[in-house]
Amino acid sequence: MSIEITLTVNRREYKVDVEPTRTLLQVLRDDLALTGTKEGCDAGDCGACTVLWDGRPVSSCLVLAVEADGGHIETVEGLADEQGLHVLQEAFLEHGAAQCGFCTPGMLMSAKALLDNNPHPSEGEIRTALAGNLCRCTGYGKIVAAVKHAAEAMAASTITALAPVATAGDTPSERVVVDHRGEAPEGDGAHG
Amino acid sequence: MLEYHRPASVEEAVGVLAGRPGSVVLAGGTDLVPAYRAGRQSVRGYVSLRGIPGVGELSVGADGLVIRPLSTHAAVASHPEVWARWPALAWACQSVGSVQVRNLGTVVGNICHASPAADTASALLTLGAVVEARSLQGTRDIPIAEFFLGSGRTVLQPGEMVSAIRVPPPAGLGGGAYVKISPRRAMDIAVVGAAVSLWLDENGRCLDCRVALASVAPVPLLTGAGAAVVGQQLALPHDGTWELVSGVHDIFAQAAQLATEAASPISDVRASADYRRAMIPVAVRRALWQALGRATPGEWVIREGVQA
Ligand SMILES: Cc1cc2nc3c(=O)[nH]c(=O)nc-3n(C[C@H](O)[C@H](O)[C@H](O)COP(=O)(O)OP(=O)(O)OC[C@H]3O[C@@H](n4cnc5c(N)ncnc54)[C@H](O)[C@@H]3O)c2cc1C
Ligand code: FES
Ligand code: FES
Repeated sequence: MSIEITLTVNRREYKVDVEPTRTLLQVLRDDLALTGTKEGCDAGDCGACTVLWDGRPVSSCLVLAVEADGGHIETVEGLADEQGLHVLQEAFLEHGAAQCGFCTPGMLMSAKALLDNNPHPSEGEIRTALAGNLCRCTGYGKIVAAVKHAAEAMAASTITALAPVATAGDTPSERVVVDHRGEAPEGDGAHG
Repeated sequence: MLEYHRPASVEEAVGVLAGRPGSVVLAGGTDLVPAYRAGRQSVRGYVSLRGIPGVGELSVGADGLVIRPLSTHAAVASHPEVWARWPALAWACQSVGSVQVRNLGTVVGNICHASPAADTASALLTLGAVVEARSLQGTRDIPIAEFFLGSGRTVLQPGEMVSAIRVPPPAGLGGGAYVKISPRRAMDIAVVGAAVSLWLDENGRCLDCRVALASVAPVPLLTGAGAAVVGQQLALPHDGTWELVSGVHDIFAQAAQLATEAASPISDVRASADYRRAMIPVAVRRALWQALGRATPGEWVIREGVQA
């Protein structure tokens, strides 16, 4: 029983036939060849497979692809654009926040979701946001520093605007960050 | 071949459950998907909830809180009214897994999975929640204290699904807490969990107090330990501040003792029975103090000789 689903991944629409047993992680990597998203444990424990689904970070190994039908997915491949790397990626490079790099795509996506919703996080908020992302190499200090630095860099070059809350259960203070390219990044928490 | 159904209403969903025995409700999938992929589970098909309008909404009103089948831990824990009125539940939801798990996992899935460690189950037990079960035969209300039969087992019948959890409004000046003892602060299930909800009248006398435990019995356990606290004067109001009365420490110690006696912990990979038994009073006392603090906002006055 294979089912046709539509996924918007990094703003591009895909139609894919999937078996209901296959996870979003498998479809991203094996069908769409978006191998930036990593498989660590395939059990929800490590966060290497973190992607944003309608703006929210989720473990893509826990999501059946059929469940995400009609959804908007952001992966690490969507962070950079023709103008260059995302501020978070620059900050990770500058701070040496990656060693083997296996956790990095998941870390970046969790950090992006955090900064999309909370442009000025405290260190505690950063650590809570990244608590579901395991890193076996760095000891986390440089990752936390990089996220803090990215938040400061983004604050220096962004205008923030209040956006209406789209979905029940969203943090009421949820914000859309309008970045220096003048467009609202996807994943503002709105269900598509 | 695994079936996948996406009904457009709860009514249609219970129709599929009845007509395709062996099908199970798929909520957030955080228990089901890894179990299936690890070969630990055989099911005929999944009944997805994502096609049902409003199925993730939370309603908060004078009648209390209504949690629906796709209400996630993140949705509950980001609702300011839940923090204000049902703090034990907000703290329990916030303690589940990680951001990634809380964005998928649901409160209804948490209780239906019926792990003795389920964080939200003990909080809901202290709040007197009612589980609404729906089938082709109709709807029935199940007090949550009667919902769990054993590890992984509930009173739900084949063809039945949970359509809502209703949590009554607070019964006075409310405070609550959920204290989870586990080796890691995130991404770990409870070695011992203690949920407390307590309500005071405006003079600081305890109107009601309930204590429930996670991971210390075959089911999430509502203890009778609140009886040591109910009716007791815990604090005295003094224009905007609260004076702690002497004896609170002893009252809480007695409740912790009663809770420990109600438990029947076992040894497993996470902890020994002895360690669990030693940690129950610690978790219960902490939860009681936190709950009292939340029920009596503002400054505490502690006179000499009163042990806090
Ligand atoms: C990495 C990780 C960390 C975790 N950490 C914690 C933790 O700290 N604390 C904790 O308590 N749990 C934890 N869990 C377990 C899990 O996330 C929770 O139990 C979660 O609440 C399950 O909800 P779900 O919506 O994902 O359920 P699902 O997996 O969709 O379903 C779980 C069970 O409930 C049944 N079900 C779901 N909805 C209904 C319904 N409406 N009617 C009838 N039956 C239904 C399903 O058929 C299934 O049997 C963790 C899981 C993972 C993967
Ligand atoms: S691969 Fe998904 S959490 Fe580890
Ligand atoms: S850099 Fe190696 S796991 Fe994080």
